[in-house]
Amino acid sequence: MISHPLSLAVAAMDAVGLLMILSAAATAVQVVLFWSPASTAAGQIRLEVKTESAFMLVPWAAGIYVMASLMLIGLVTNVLPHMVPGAMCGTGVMQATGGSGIRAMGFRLLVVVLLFFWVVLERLNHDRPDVPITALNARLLLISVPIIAIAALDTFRMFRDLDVQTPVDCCAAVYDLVDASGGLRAAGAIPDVWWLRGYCLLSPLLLAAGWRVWRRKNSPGSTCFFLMAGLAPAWVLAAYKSLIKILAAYYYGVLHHHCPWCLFLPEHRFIGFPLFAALLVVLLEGPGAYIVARVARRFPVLGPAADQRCRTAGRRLTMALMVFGALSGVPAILWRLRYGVWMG
Amino acid sequence: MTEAMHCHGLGFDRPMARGLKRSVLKRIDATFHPGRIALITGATGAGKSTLLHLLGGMMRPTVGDVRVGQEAVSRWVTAHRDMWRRNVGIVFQQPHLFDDMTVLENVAVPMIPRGVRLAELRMRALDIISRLGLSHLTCDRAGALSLGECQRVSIARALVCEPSVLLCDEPTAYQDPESIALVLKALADARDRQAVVVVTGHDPRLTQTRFGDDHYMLKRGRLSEL
Repeated sequence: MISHPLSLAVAAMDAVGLLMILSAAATAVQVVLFWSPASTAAGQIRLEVKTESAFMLVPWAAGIYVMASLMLIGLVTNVLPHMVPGAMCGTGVMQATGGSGIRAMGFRLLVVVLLFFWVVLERLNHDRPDVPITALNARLLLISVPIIAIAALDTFRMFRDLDVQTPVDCCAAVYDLVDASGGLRAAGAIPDVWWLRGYCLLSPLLLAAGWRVWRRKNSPGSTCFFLMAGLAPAWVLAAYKSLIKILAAYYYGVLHHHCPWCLFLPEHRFIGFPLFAALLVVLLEGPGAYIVARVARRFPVLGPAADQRCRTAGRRLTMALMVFGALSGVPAILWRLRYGVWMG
Repeated sequence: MTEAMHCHGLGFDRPMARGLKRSVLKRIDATFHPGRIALITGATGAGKSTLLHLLGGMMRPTVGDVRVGQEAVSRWVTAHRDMWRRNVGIVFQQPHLFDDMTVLENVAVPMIPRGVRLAELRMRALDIISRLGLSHLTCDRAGALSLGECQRVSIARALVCEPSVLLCDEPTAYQDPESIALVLKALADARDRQAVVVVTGHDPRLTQTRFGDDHYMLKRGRLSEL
């Protein structure tokens, strides 16, 4: 197991975050079992005080977790490649973890999504002095606890399993995706150009939905939110695939280098961070607005606050789409203007 | 319009040493109406100040709640309760002034978080200072005042924002008869503005002058109307 200071820092931050979440979860269990807002008994009042202070821990835990994740990405992309023989970027590092790295990243993403939804709903909850959705948030927190624990454990396993002795072949891992006929993808997979078409088709639809939610005068009803929620994950997938398969080539200057991790390297100006941040914002805000709207339908007292939050989600989603479109599309356009052709 | 303040089964246990608790207030049910002065008397240590702190939202009750209209304000989360407390003017037993600030500055402090403009802030502070007979002390440091003068400054501070709920703990303490008249006039003005006014004390100058519209006695943690 490696003992790089950054890896120790990530593990420590994960442990602190997990402890904070577990502490809040202990109160969440009591909320789920005993919450009775109509009662004025001593037990209910004690529970209300306890819940207010316990649930303050969760946004801090979420912040610590996000910082740890950013640190981990920096570690994987810019530090560990120098320790793993043959690795040039995060792809080689992930190879050296034997699969536990990808699993850890996947669970960490899931944790970020769940904690984001929790924080959004809790802020909505606190718009009203009688905090009407406390029990709902307690349940959501309890659902998140095992995921957070698994993510912390998998991250630890990733560091434990990281093999810094056996050489890896980054490029083979990437270029093995390319078959012998030169540039064609494996049979049965979706052609790269279809991802780009999907991205180009979904982008204006999602942009329109986000714009409408942001700038509407009247409530858009459920259709816009449903569109945002449904389109956002599909768009994220299409955008990610288009980025890796086609658009990233205009940063790399070479074709068929389908590596997401190289975008985080200094030679590409760390462009991976804003690109993937934009993807994450869309992934979170799209379904987030839908969840907020559904909660507001069930708890009408939260209507005005939910309305405001949905507008914020629409604004952030629109901005993120535009940022991603600019960062991914401008290099391609500049290339075309400079050389008169598209790459490939 | 200000709504009445209700205590429903209000109780408070004070933690003591070795994990023990002392029941200070026991199941208090009372309603304090706007446009009326409620006078609460009782022996020293009966729990009058504790009751005021609960009504003002500075402490949470152990059991029961304080409601204004239909809203259980004593159970609100901290941020909302803090906003609710901007409607409450409180006169403590001890004045708790900023010793290094002048009388004018001390009285003006509550208006700052309410975003009152400077000109209006100064005007309102000077008005309430003059109504309580403190004009000659406007520029004096609070640390140089007598206890009676400090108490009147504290009352001025509580009244300057025209609160819808006014809670006064021994407002006539350390006052001479002339000053008491000014204090009682200021409280009566608050009542006439339809504020909920709750005054506690065992000063005979309050109890014997029939100052309050409703008179309560707090004894052994229980509140009874006289």
